[in-house]
Amino acid sequence: MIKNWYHRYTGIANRGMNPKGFHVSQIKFYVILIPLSALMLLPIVYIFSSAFKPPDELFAFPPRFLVTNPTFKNFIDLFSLLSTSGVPISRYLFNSILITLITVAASIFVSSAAAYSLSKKRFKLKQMLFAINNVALMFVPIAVTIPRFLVIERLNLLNNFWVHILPVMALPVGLFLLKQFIDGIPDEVSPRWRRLRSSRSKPHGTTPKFRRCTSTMRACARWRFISAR
Amino acid sequence: MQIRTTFQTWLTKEGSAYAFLSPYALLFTIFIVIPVLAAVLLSFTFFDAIQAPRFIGLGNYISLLTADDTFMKYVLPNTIQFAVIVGPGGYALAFVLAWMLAQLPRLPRTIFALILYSPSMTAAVAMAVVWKSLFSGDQTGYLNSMLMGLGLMREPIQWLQSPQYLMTIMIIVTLWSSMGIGFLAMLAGILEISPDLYEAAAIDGLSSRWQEIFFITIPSMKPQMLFGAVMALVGTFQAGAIGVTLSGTNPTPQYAGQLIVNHIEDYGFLRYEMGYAAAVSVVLLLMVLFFSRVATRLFASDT
Repeated sequence: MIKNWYHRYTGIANRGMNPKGFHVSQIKFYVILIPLSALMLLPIVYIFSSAFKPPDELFAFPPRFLVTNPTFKNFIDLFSLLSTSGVPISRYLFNSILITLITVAASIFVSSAAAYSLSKKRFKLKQMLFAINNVALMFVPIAVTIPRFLVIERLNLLNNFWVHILPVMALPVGLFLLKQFIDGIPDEVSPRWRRLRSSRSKPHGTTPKFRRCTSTMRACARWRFISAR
Repeated sequence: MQIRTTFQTWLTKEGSAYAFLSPYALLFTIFIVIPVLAAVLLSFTFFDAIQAPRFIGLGNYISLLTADDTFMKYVLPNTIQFAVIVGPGGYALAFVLAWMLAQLPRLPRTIFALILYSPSMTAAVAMAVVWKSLFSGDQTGYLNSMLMGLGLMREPIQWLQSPQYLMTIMIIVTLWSSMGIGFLAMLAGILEISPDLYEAAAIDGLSSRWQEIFFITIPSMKPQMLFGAVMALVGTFQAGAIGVTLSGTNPTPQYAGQLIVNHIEDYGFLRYEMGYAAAVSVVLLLMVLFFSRVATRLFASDT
């Protein structure tokens, strides 16, 4: 039996998509993916390693990729220098976190409500509104920076906390993703949902759908989070 | 009375739909629709951000097509070159990688997906620091130091300042960070395809992996393919700022890395010819729309 131990990995099991375990046919993918991932990681490893470099290593010649004498001095400097020079780093940190949290929560709420409506409700302008959103998906922010600034100025949002939140709350990508996902959920997800629909006594509940949507919402939240900074 | 009842039927039939939609629609109108319309209007004016806009008809578009040497000679060819390589290239790369990952077990798949996805999470501005020191022009730059150590070159090359390398570096950097949300969507799409389909196709006589990809995998995940394509497109046109970030100057050295986005910035924020910049951005919007129409045609699902 020892002789044929490898038959486990060459048979019909675990071939093709979404395998449960290792198969010989996967080796070629590992051969490609491992060097590629290493290459993709290099700049990120570099930025982490450089954060711990003392000055003489940062400007060393020949340059070294990895840190040899790691130090926390850079981080200590960041906080101490900024607090002595009157630049309130804690305030910046607080602002970033708070704004990100509010933006993520609010835009998920707003987008999922709109996506639900576009996916499951029937109304006249539905196709047109979705088409408009799709067009906006390709929208390149830099192209309309100037008029956007003018709009924000008109709304008295300059030098205001809300300027970080309101303009980025309507996110066409988020709406698109959520709508596509809700489309994939059949109308009769659960008996409870059917009961809700047929009785009509309550407003259209989103609970079952909401639960099925969480993974997409997580994706949206992540996307929102990345672009919120 | 008649009006009231019509309104009431409308309210019960469609009211809730609009109620769900309204917060999004409001924000969308204020911060996306109005600015786009304003940009279109501005593009027909001469506007220097000090005096009120003055209507000049199609003047901006005419000078864009006839008098703007830089645009025709550098910006447009650069943009097309960049877009053709980074757009379809990055897209194909994302699909191939997603396809490979789908054939690995869960744990390695998650690890690889995370690694490949992580570059797109990094902020372009923060990563510029890394690229600048990797491609630094003197001998302390990593690439220079490495190549000189191997004996391949004798003198350091000004990677980011020399016109013949800047474009290549921009393309590499953008490809590096192109495994974004479209890649994740495609990966999820491939994994969702039912194994029965492959089995049935194998029984029906599908023999090679290529046939499997073209007859089963891609047709079964058209929505994700379309989404990935659109994301690749948007990413490509938005990545334009990378040339300016890398070289540190706008315009880039000898316009080697000048893309439409940089041209807009150049005119809008350096020369304050806002009307002209708006005209260029309208052209950019039209280009993106055109390409996304093409993508939609390719991957439109039959709904």
